[in-house]
Amino acid sequence: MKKISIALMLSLVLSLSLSGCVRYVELSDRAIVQALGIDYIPDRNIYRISMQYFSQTSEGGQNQIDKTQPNVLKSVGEGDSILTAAKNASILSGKDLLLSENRLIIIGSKLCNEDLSRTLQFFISNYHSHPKTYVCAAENTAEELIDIRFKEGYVSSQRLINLIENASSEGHTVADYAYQIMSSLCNSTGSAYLPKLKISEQKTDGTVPKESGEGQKGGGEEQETEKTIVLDGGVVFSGKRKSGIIDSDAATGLQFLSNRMAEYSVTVNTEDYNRSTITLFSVRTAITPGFNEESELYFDISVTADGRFDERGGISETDTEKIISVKARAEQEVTALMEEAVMQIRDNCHSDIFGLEKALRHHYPEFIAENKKNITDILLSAPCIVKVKCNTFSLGLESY
Amino acid sequence: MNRISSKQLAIAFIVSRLTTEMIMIPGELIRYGSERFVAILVAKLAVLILYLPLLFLTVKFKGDNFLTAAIRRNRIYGIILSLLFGIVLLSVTVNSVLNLQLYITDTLIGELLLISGTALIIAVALYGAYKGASSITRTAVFAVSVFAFLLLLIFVTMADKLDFSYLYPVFIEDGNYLFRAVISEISCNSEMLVFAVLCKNITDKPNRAVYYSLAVIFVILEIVNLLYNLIFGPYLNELEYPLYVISSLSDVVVFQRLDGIDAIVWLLCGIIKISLLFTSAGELYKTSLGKRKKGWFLAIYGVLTLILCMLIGSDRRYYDALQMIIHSAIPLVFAGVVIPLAVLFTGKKLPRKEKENEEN
Repeated sequence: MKKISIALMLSLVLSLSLSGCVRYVELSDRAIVQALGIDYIPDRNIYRISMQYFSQTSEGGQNQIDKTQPNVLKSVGEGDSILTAAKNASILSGKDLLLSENRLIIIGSKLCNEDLSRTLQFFISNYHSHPKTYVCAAENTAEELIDIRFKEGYVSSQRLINLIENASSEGHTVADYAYQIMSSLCNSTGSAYLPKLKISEQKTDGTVPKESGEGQKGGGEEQETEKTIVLDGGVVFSGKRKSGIIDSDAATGLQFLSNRMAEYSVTVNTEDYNRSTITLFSVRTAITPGFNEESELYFDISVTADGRFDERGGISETDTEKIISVKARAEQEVTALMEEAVMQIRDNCHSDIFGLEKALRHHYPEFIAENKKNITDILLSAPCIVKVKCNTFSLGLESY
Repeated sequence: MNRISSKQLAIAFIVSRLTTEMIMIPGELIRYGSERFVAILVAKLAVLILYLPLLFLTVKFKGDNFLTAAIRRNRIYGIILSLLFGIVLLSVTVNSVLNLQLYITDTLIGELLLISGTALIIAVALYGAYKGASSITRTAVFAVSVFAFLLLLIFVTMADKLDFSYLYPVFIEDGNYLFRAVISEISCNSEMLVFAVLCKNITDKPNRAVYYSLAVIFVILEIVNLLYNLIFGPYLNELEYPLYVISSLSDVVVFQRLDGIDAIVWLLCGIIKISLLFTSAGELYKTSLGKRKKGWFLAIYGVLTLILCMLIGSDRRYYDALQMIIHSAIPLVFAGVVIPLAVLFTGKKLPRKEKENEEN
């Protein structure tokens, strides 16, 4: 008992006294970063970091979060490196930066032309930051996106994260964490993909972007608009630098190619059957390299999926011929999306985001070893044959 | 005498070796690809062979350690051997303390001063050594249980992030790296030094501690290496503490990230490793000078370790030089193989009557 008492006393004394040996920062003195934008200013050769951090004195009291407010403040810093820019941003806010809660990094368009791995390395090598942070590219500057505040969710950045996650789960874009992008950049082509965010103007009472809605046509009453952020395709990297931009269709095709598509709805317009919608689920993509009779490398990209008719468009369940026809059209549409993605990403941007090299290494590692010097050229020129097979289900039974 | 079973020592060895894997191996020696799987297997077989002189020694001298057998031949001879062995032990201890300090500053507390960190590590480890091998091994059982639970948790939470297409069927692509990885893997088995000294404290067959620990460590290291490869792929080559990054990625309902709790457990494992090294130094002192208590010696040895840590830790070049020497495996082979081999041929057995009296 005596020993236990001494041990407890010692623990208490040590824990009380040793905490003074280390510099500590109160939570209220920390800038809890929620989203972060990095821009590069080539003329001055400096980095500019803008960050949204949690405002602990927002309306609703110090300890309660008012969901009707953005609940974030902004701080900006410039410096020769990302670290010094972040430190300068910390000086401006008067608070110590806490990166462990950061969930979004936006890379400015000019910085995309620089080595992406060097930019992201800061966030991976800094063990206090969170490697599960989404990374996106900005159409222009990252700061203009950080400037926009949303009044939904606990903090403003939550809306952007939800946007990215929803777009990813709906098959519109591939959203990767920082460490996954770093893994992707380590292949021989130095390839990566970032979803592109851009500013759009919306009517205040709707979610339809102005340019695609009634406002574009004019003639009607002037309606108030406000700035919001939307996803618009993505930025492709090759050699660790930006090599091109792809549109939304190619971004969807990429989702199929990289075996990330969870569910995707295809609407087929037919002359006589009106509109039918098939939702694909359990989508699986396999990339298998092979050699043709001339010993030339090719990639067989096959997608298999289960599908269900969400809108039959007037087709009866027993009308086999029409169902098969609609299904074939849906398969063609997905094939076209994937071929478009291969064309835009690999042929135009010289990038291998969908893992051709990984598949080749998995199946023919000796081929990579033998062709180490020109493997990039081989990967970027090998034909890709896309095949899509969809099994439609009805009432839980496989039908066609 | 602080007696322990072979299973207890095996668990302590597992903790010690895992600490090296998590904290102390230089990042550049953990690379993506099949070589490291081969390196771990080859190194474990090599270590088993390197253990042979020690295992023969325990059989020939009926559970005595190399020093007892050497001193029985000639005290001066024994003291010289213990000094040589002690220098290697001290260098491994200093290297381990500095590695642990570097790990803490890299991941947990960036501002921790060298003197504060190393002094605290040494003080806690010395307390463990003072309490003896039995107390350390009991703590090791707790640490290894928590470690295993956390590893399982990491596997479960990261299951959806495992990418099996990162694996490919080539075993040796870079022979040069394979050689360096094997040597480094061998050098990481400083438990051999602990076994050389503490084998006489084992109540049952000492060789079991070696077999059990090597088998379990082999399986765990291969699993952890597989985890690294499946999650990071080629990016593994760029990471300094891959398991720390993995644990920061894994989250369960209660904890958003497991790195903090993992880091604390690994810190405990690191202290257990250093405690084992201190205990071995204490036993070395007691046996070579025929003393019964080791308290004062441990205090002086701790201060010496702290001074060396301050000197070597003051300049990155000194630290890198020490790392290079330790990872060449030469000190380990010298102290763990050459010295026991010399004693195997020159040591003196205890006459049967004296042995019986000692046992009674």
